[in-house]
Amino acid sequence: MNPEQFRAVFGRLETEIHQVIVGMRGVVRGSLIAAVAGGNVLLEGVPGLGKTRLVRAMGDALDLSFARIQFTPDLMPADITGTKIISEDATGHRSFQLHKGPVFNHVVLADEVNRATPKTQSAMLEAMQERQVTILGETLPLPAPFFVVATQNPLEMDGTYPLPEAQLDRFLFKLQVDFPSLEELRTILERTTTSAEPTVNAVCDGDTLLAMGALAREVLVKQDVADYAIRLVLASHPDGEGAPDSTRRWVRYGSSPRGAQALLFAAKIRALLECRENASIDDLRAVARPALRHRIILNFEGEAEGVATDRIVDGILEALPR
Amino acid sequence: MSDRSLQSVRRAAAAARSGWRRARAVNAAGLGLVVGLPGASVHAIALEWGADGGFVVAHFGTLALWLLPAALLGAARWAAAPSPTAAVAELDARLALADRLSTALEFAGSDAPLVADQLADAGAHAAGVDAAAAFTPAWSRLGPAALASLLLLMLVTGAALTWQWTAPPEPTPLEQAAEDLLAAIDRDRAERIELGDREAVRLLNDLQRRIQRITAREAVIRKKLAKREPPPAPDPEEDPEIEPPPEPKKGEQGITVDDLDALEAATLEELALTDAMEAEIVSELFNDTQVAQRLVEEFGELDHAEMDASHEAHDASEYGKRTSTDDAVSRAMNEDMTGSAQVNPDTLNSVEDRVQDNMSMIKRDLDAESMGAHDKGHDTQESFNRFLKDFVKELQATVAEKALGKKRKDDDRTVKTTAGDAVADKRDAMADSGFEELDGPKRQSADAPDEPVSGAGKPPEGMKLQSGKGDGDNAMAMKGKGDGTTSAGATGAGTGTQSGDGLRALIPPAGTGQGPLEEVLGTLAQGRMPPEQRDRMFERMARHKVQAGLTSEADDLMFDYFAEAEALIVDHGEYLPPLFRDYAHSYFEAIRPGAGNASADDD
Repeated sequence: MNPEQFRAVFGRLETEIHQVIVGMRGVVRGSLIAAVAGGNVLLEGVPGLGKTRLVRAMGDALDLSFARIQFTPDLMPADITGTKIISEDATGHRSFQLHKGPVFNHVVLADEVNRATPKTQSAMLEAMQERQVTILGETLPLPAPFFVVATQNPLEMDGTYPLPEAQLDRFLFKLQVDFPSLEELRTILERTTTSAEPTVNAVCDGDTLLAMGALAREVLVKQDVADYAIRLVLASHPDGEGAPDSTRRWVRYGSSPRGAQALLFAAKIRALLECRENASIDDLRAVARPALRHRIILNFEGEAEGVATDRIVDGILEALPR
Repeated sequence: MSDRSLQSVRRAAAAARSGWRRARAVNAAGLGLVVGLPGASVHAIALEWGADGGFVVAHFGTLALWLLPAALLGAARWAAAPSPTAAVAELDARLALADRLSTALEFAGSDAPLVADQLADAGAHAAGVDAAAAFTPAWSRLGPAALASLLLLMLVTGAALTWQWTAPPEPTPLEQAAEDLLAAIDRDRAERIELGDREAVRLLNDLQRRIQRITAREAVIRKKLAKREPPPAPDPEEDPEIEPPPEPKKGEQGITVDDLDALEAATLEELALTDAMEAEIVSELFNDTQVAQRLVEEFGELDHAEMDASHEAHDASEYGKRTSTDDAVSRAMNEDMTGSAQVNPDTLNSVEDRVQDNMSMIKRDLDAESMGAHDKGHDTQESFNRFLKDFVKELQATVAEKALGKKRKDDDRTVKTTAGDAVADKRDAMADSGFEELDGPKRQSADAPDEPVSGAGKPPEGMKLQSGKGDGDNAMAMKGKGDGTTSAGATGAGTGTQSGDGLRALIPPAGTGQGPLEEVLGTLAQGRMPPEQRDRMFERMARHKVQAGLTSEADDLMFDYFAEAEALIVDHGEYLPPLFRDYAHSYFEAIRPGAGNASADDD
């Protein structure tokens, strides 16, 4: 695959997804970038904005298997990963037989992921990071490509279990799903209240998606640009070099090195989409918000004052000009 | 293809480097100008205030040093050339090339899969890049600032060359005293306002205005004196044929230092105000002062109150005595104040003594409240009188000092009386030796008969400087204009050597070639007042009189004195340096009663 093919496939994917998803262009592009990078996405938005539909459309367009898990407080890890049950064959021999859970799909939608208990949430950790699942001592690889799209509702916080930092760090992007505009709402109504329901055609397969990811890794990054990504991450720590006042005041802990990786990989993919074979500092700045906002942990003062992590990231970008 | 792209990128990098280097140097120089030009402006102001003669054209060379920061900064930035990598990164940033060119240069030669594609992309972008245009100096930022700084410098230097600014002089002791007095008045007025004493507040306001006018008057005189240039230094080449004065013959004594000191003392005595003139000025100001008038009125009221009280409490004989005493004091004071009587210090002292006696008499009989009010008014009047006397003395000292360039000795009131004789003897001896006497105004020798001072009925012949010995105490040798009235300052012929010799003794020798004596005595003033200028002067004086409504005899006397002095200056103009003439003008301007009348009108 070459850069032109990359851009062509990516463009077709966006077009197909937008057959059923109105608006949300940034969310769609961010989700596809994460899919190309093999990363997981955390979508945050109120119910009814089309998050589930987006993930399903992505699966359809990518021609990948799709599974949806509705996270509830009584959801058990085995409900996600699967389990082994005793089964008896025709001869009467009993043995453990593996029943794979919904995690064994290319695209997994973890709906309202923050409603499950931490124990259940942690069951996703291995799958999200290692692309494998261990069931009763047996480690099983997940299909490739594999990525998780999780959603959470920022309003109904009662009875929820905030995601642990370790799990948050596994998400490449955290994307904010905003309420649609007037025009978008009108289009949504037109498309969903008629008999002709739009469909999504598969324009890509898993191999193509993997090839796109491999090409993205070849994008050139000069040293200054890589250094800028490192400086961004360091500046997210209150005691880090170049940390602005907002970071020093409201941040308890900044981004992990996975944040720098996410920044750089996402910047590479964006550079390809911008018809370049080299990542630039502008690419890093463009993906800084979705790549860093969920990796910054506020301190008590920041939480008490309701400081948004986007404000922290903006402060870092302002403190570190090109 | 890759080579061409790479060359394209490298050409763009080279152009970016040179362009950025030039722009950085120009920007640094511009910054230096923005800093240096205001500095030069401040320097020009400092030169105008501090240097002798103020800011002159020659100082532009000094101001040029302020261009050094611009030159040094520009040279330093030019020398510190940016690296090609930094230059091309800057070019990427300025042209929004998203690090294409810098990445291509960094990965040139690499075998990464996308290097060729990236290089082709960078080459395509570099081909259409105008690197020089990307690195233009920041005219929009530095240009207006530098231009404003240049305009500021031009304005400052232009103004400094056009107008001569001078540093504010330090306050003289007299000015300091006036300031202290004004401050004391302010404090007292605040207290009076709190007490609701409106009359006292009004009096204090009046006193303050008068002090301010006197101070302003002194400042005007000082300015006039400051503007006066000293007489030009004699040029020895101007008259090379002048011969040095011959050695004095054996047995003859030349002009010694003592003689010159005596002549100087005599001249200072001429320039100094006599006690009588001082008393005249003081009485004039006293008469014009509203405070004095109020105090006199208050004095009268208290006197009447006291008389009434005494009339009821005591017998009639005591009342009559005090009344007669008061009348005598009032008559004496009125005579002194209006100048209708001949005033001298003795007269003034006797008047003061009588006032004191009367005050003591009144104090015995007044109640405590009246006594307090009376004492306060009396103290205020005495304080004001002392201030006026000090002011006049200080004015005399300042004017004499400015005019002569020397410090006047305070104890030189008594002048050597032999100086005139010594000079006269020396002049005679020199005449015997063959030196010629100058033409023009004649000096009176010590043997000349004294002019009648009162000059009753005798028309004036123009004032002459007298060197005659007199038995009077006053050294003001100006003769009255001959209407028979006597006035302050004209009561004596003077004990000093009030002669032109005294004036000439102060002039440094210059050798005008007009005679041996002149060679010794030095260059004298040049020219005399033209008749037209003299007429204008008299017209101006007359106009002042009309405007001021002068009707008193003191005014007439002052005007006559000024006219006589002007006539004397005109007659003896050749022997009087310009500073002396200006001194006389300033002196009569200072004591001109028109200001006092105008002030009274204001009230």
